[in-house]
Amino acid sequence: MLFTAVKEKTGVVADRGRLFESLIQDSYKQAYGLAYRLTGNAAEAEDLVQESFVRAYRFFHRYDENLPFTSWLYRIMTNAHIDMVRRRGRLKTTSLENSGTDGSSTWDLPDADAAPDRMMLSNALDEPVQKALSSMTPEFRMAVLLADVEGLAYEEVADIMRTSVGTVRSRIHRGRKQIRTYLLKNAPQTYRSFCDEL
Amino acid sequence: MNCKSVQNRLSAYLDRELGGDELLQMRAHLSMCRDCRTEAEGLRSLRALLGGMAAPEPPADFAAKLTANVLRQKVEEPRRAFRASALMFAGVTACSMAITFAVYGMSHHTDTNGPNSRVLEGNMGILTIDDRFSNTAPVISAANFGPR
Repeated sequence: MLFTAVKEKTGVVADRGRLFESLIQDSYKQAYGLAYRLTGNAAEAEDLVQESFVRAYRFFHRYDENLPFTSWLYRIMTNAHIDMVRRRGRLKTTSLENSGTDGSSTWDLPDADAAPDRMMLSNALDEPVQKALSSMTPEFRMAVLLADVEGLAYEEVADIMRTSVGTVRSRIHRGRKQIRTYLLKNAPQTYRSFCDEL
Repeated sequence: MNCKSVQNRLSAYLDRELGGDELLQMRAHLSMCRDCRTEAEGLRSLRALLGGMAAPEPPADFAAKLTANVLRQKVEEPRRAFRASALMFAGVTACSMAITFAVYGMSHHTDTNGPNSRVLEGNMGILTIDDRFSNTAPVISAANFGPR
């Protein structure tokens, strides 16, 4: 009887492992993309993805199958990211005020006149955008990324962030304005060229 | 709707998150106000930039490492299920005790000593409780102690 119980439990654990493995395979790339934008670097993105999946696996019995798995994972990632930022006390990424002063974080932006292609301009703006994102509070950053990069509706963002649609609307709007202000200040030529290309 | 309230709603407007009167008022204002249209175009461009950014790719061996590290973790057992099973266990125990006492009482109740007497019979013998003097303490007499 004991043997049967152990066998059944082992079977359940194995099934859960197999199911979760397939969920990892389906969603890790998307999760990594979001984590990279949230943290601003590869090492922390890997840590954040792993922490999120570990929490999801440990508490998998709480997963509501009516919710898409990525939405549930993003909810966990939101909390894990906020925990990570608070634990550190400050963002490890370079602050906006110091950007470019230590030589390690300067970017060689291409000359917009020499490369007027929109894709190249977009690539050139990638790092300034990342810096602008990193300067925001984690709540603003998450709201903007979920809406603009993940393409989620406000209600979905609100559900993931466990807040109201009104709060999400405000965070997204203010977040976008912060990014635009940063780009106009720090990469004006490239950003204006990009806007002209649209 | 004035320029300030329109500009505060521009992101929601561009994201098609407005409806009803709010949407109609936004459209009406934007058709008349060049400043707000310029602001809307600025936010539209930024939205396009953010939406078109290439997704960062994880390292090639990331999936394998991630899967191994995650599946190595101990899984949390559902607390709710534990609580439910504990309650069920307590309930079943209480019921079986109640049934045992009821059956025991019925099968051993013999009214041989008159209406005012109760007899409790056990392995050690018979204990007779006389309730005739129930206003005071019952008179208890023991007989036939020892195995029968």
